[in-house]
Amino acid sequence: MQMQHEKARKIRSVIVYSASIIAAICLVVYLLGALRELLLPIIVGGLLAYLCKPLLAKRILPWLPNSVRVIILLGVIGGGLAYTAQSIKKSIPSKDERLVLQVRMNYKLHERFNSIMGVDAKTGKGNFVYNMVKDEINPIMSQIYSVLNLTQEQRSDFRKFYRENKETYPNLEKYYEYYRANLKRARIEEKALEAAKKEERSLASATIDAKEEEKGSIILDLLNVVSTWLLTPFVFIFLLFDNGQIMKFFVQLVPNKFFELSLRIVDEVDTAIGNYLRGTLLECSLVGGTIGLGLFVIGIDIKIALTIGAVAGLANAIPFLGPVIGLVVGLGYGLIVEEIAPIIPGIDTGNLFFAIVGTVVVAQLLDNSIFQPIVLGSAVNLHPLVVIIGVMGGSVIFGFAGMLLAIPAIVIFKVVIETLFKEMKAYRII
Amino acid sequence: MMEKFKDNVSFYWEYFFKNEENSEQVSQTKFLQSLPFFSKLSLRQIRVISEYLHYREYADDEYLFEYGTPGAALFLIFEGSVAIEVPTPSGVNQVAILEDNSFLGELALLSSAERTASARCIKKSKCFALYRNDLDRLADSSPEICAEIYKSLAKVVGRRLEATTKQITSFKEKHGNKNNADAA
Repeated sequence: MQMQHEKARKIRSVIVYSASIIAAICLVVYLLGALRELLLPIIVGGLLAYLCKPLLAKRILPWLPNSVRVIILLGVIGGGLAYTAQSIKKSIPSKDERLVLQVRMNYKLHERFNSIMGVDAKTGKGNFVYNMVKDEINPIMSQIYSVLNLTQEQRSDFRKFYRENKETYPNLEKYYEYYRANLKRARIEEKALEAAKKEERSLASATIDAKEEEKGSIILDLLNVVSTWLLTPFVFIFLLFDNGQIMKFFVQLVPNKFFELSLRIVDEVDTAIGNYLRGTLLECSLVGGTIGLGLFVIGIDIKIALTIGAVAGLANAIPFLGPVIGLVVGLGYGLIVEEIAPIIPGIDTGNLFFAIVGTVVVAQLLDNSIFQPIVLGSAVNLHPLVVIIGVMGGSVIFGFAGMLLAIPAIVIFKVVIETLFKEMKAYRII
Repeated sequence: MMEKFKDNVSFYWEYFFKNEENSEQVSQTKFLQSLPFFSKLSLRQIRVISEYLHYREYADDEYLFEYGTPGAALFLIFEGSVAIEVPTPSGVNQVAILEDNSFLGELALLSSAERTASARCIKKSKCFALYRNDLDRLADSSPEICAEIYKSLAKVVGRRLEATTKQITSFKEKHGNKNNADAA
């Protein structure tokens, strides 16, 4: 009788447990899908908290209660991020400034290309390199120029901007010359210009309304962004307030047979992932710092050099593609920069291109030969093929954020699986 | 009528002056203080350490840990009884039975070496477990508590070593005598 009772109970418990696990999985999957927008703020908050955890464990200001130290830490990080965001926002060009940049880029690209290839403007003949590759490269260049050429509407916007700001905006006179040169080169005839002028007159009144509308939508966008990202500091604070209670709750759910096993798995996974993430953060900061410093040394303004360094450092977390992104951003700026103040002699705007490539190459060499081996060691080894497919897969699913988070996600998965099997064998479960 | 009034009043006052800790927490604190590891700690320190303890309930015949698996935690028996068993080729050899207010597996606090015996509950038991790495983390936040625990741990291990040495000596004496007798 007793035996039967026990048996029935066992069956019931198996049913209840499996039903709850299935229900929990369904719920989690559904919520992950439905609350996709909240996912990134939560991940960012959690990641920040995770990265900062050792700062609290080490006895910095030991006489302060833990909660106060968390708040101070949040203040420091929040302040830092707000300052960075502010300076990035300032350096993001407005619509008109983008037009100016486009004009500058178009002109400079053409100028650099012609000077490298030795193309003579009148005869159209270049040096022997040009003669060798012109059939291949000319279609590509004209493709690029056609992207950079302003449309009718953009042209009228640009002229309007020029008329309104020619006294205040630095170098605008020069950029207008670029614009005219671009136009000439694009073989836009006087007729088209006339047409544009007429168009411009009719457009002049309409643009004011359009601007108002744009402002409204920016505020709306801002509100949307704010409401989900408001989660991040909360996740950060409460994860750092936690004194192992969250973990204890989950361990409590583990059956007795797997109790010690679960403690060890959680701990080993935590150590491995913590080392990897903190190592990666340090490595990216070092790369970013090196590129920023290098650009400053070859003459780029310190603020811009550091901004490009920060972008390149962040992008460096993406394997293979990251260094290229850093290089492209650096070269993009190098293309349009008008004057530089190099610390090393012999660098001018003409050979700045090579100096930037050199800086990025040096930073990457340092990264591969010194930073990575020292900071990351061989903590987590992923096969290059896994890395490539992971990065592409991440970009397909979540865009840029997916690209950035793909490798950490794969690393976490790998560490969890590896540790799980190793420990289950040690505890003779499998 | 009067009784009811009294009940209400007492409920009111009980609620008003209600101690933060309920009776279970008080008995847990007393239990922890009765163990050598925590006997020198203040009430406040006991409260800190109890945040790190994992509470587990075991059914009859369930294992706390098994012979040969890596040790991870010290177990404190709050209630119940646990048999310490060593598997031998001829069958399971029961070495000891531990009752309420005792502890086992303390070597796991020092290293993850394999357990030298199994611990099996022989009736329903309530235990607390202290994980080795939690103790390491405690060293960071409250080193004085950690030092006290390690000191007690050293004493316990020292006593065990002493007992083992004595056992080996007496075993050798007997064995040595027997060998001598055989040689003669």
